[in-house]
Amino acid sequence: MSGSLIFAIAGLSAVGIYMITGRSLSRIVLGFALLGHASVLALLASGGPAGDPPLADRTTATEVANPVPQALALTAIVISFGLTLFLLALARRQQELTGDDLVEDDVEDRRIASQETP
Amino acid sequence: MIRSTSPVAELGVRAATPPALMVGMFLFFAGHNRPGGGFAAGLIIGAVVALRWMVGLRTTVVPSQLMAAGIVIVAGVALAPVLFGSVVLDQAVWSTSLPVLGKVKAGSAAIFDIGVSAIVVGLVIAVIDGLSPATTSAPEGQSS
Amino acid sequence: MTTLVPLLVVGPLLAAALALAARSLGRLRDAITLITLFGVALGALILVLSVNRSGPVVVRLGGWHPELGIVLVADLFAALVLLSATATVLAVEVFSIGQRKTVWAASPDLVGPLLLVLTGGVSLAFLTGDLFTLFVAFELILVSSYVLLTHQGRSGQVRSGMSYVVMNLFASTLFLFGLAFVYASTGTVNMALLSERVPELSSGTQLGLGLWFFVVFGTKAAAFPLFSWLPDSYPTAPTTITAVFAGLLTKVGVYSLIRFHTLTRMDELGPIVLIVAGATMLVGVLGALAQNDVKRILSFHIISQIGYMLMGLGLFTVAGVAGAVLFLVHHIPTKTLLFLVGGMIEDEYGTSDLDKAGGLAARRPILGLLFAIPAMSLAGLPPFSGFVAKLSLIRAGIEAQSTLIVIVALVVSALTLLSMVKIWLGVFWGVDPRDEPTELSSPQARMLMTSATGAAIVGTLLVAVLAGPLWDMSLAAAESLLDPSGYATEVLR
Repeated sequence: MSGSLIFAIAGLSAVGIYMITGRSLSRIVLGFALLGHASVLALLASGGPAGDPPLADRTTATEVANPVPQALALTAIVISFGLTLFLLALARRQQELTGDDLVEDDVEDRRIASQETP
Repeated sequence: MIRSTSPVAELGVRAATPPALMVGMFLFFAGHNRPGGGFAAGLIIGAVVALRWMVGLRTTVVPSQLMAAGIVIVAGVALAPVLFGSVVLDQAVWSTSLPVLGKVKAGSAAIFDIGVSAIVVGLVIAVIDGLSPATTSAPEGQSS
Repeated sequence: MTTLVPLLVVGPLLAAALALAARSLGRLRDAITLITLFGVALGALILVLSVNRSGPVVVRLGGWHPELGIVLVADLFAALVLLSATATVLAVEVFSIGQRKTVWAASPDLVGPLLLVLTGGVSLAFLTGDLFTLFVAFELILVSSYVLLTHQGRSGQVRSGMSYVVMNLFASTLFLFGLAFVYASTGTVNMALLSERVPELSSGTQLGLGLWFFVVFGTKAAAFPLFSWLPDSYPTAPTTITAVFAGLLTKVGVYSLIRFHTLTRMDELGPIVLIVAGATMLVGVLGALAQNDVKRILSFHIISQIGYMLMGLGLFTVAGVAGAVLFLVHHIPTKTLLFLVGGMIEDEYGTSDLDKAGGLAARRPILGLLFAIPAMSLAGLPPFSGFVAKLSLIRAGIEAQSTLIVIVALVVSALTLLSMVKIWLGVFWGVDPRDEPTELSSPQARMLMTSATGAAIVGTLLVAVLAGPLWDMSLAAAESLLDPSGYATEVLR
């Protein structure tokens, strides 16, 4: 596994996690996008050393890269594409309702926590 | 809905539509054993729809129906082998010789890909609808 | 059987598409939804009987070898939980058709198709034989549940939906990383192959993988301390939706935990799982005692019940895992039922706040009965199904000499009863705080809702009546879970 991949995964994860700890949903969306990239890179890295593209009739069995993690990574990309769209729609809805896109506290929970103990 | 303020943009998008669709179709057929495939083709076609939407050219396709059709095709192709006594998701390949084109190969995977493309295009349209300022209804789900 | 198993996954998805296409044609859409859900439940029943008689069913999709392709595996554990889950969804769909006339109704043209997608995802999660397909199933379940949760677009729903989405999406991302780790260390994501290869890894790697997936599935299962999204989001959704979520979603997490951790022989994690189990039980039940709203009390109880299932897993003995399996099978319908009754209380008073309700036992004695049976079952009173499940867990705990967790389980049981009594006092006894009771729902709609709930109660009573055979099946399931070599040979043959 190449060093550059490790650094890319580590950097993307760090920035991604930093961003999803914020309250603004648009930052969270970006954070998840970065984390998604990091996880896809991790999947790619899990397939061992790089090789030729695993396409039929193009290469020999010894030089080909492991196709299974690539298939997994593709599926993961498709899924994170759909989820990013969904998060964006949710952020937009929140912005329409409240004028901002902040993730708020559990209202009922705050109410119970602030109750005076008898 | 964003009304186009620039006739140039509208004309450009109109002109770009056919070649972009061609690229989409190419990717669709190339996907059998080269990079491309139903998902990539669906994204390109979806991008065409999105571009046309931005300059005010709305499509009349109902996204939910498109997605439903796509799922029916995909599930149908997945289940069809059972009728011929094979396992689910098995595939068949037919090859034949045509006069002009020479040897032509077609697999049941191509039909599966049509379904995938339909789902992706439907999803893209649904999301554009959902994110557009005109809708006052709920996210994605409601508008789809 | 090799046709039935994939049909249980593809069937609901296909029907979802048809129902979506027919969503403006109310009758047709409802017919598609009901017939499919009924068919899936029936299929699950046939599967249970067949698997019990002649062993697990393995289907290789597209005919590929498990090393490369996707396999569906229906063993006794999967089939039992699937039956419990699909029968429950069917009852909820009937209830939701009844509830449609009331103000609380979820928009009907989406609920049918989305429930079908959810059912397809849940079947896929239970039946899949590899971790990556499990991830796909999780996403399928989560996307449909996100939309179900927020589709009405009320401000409270969007707010709580966000914490739900963010927490679960984070768990999904961790799941992806986990898949990369598993593939890098073993070269496969197939569970049968994993059960052979993971025990050969160095103990540090094993422990790391086990803990990583414990966090992933623990978040999905709302185990301590990753549960905060659950009581926040569940109560805001329409009743039928909450009922399905309460019955199914967290249970898919528990199912995956039991599946993964027994297959890969993570016995060393036992003590950690037990600590988390105890904390989950206590925090859940104490949270419930602090609440003053029927739906929120019930939501916290989901968490505390998850603790019991984790306790069964944490013991890593046949009796313990069998207890967890039985608890899972009992819990899905019972919890769903309580939420359905909670929904009917909400229909009656326009709120589920305990202070604004009262005197319901006099006006609707049947509703009182409908609440009392699953409530006592939840608290573990004999002769209901919860008693059988809890008794087997506690016996397993004593056998394994884990005294502390047994004491915690007993105390939590008592506290559960206490908070059920609190709901009973607040809603069913006392005087109606309203001056003039208004009818929020029509008698016809109530009829359908009551009969759906009633039918589901008969289901949970069946769990108690059939406790003998069910216990035998759970024991058989637990034995094969704790000795995964049989599973592996069956899949790889």
